[in-house]
Amino acid sequence: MNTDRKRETLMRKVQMYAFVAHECALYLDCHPENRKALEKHGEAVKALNKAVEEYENMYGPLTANAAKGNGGWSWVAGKWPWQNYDEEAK
Amino acid sequence: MWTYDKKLQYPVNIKNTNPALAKMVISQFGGPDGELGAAMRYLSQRYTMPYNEAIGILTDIGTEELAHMEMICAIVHQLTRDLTPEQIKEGGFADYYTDHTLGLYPVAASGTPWSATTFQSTGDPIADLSEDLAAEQKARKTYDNILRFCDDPDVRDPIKFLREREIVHFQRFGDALRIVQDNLDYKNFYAYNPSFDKR
Repeated sequence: MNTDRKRETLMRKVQMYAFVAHECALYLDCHPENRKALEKHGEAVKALNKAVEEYENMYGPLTANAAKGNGGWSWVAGKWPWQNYDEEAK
Repeated sequence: MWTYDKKLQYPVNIKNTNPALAKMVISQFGGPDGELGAAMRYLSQRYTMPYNEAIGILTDIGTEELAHMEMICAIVHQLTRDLTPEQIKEGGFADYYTDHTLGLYPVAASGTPWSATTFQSTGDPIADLSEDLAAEQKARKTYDNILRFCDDPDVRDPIKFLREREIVHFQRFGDALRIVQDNLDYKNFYAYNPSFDKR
């Protein structure tokens, strides 16, 4: 239960920073010179990379290329994003 | 969720336009055995697939199909770029041009718009994976038909790459089907549906 809550917190962080970075990117697509948005985007990407690393170290890869080779192919292990707390594929 | 990479999976660099050939190739965008339908089929089937290996294969191949759709669109775009009205008329491209100019719209070679009726998501793992095996062979067939009518090496090269991917995907779906069957009653694979019946 405790690890579930910790996992959820870390995932929320990943989702939050990814969303901020994405929102900045949308704005920057049509305002590529905006200093404030550029800065905000850079900060969000930095925070995102850190959050992703933290999550992946504890709960496994978020992308196939982040799967660690040692100890088998971890990409297909564990929950898929559409499965809620009591569903797990075999 | 998905993110976009600003690259093609395999390069497409076509020097000469050819609207007649573009009309054939576009079927792999919006035709019954095309890449758009393939991506939608696999990505839709994932949710009720009961085994992690098969979910992984559907996710990763479904994602690759989106990249193939982009390659097909790049081929059609480069085959039709800067066409003159005369070339459009001579190349038999006037019927497509009327509604879409030189824009990319998912249609079959016959002009029929893309339809979700070209695929299934049955909620039955054996039925879904058997459809996926057939889908890969049907797409390979379309690439073979295109290659028979195409002597431009700039087009043949990426089309041959895509054809090869259909064969690899067929192998991987075969692996997935075997894993599903290994999880079932070996005396009767159809004794129950592992995505629906509680056991």
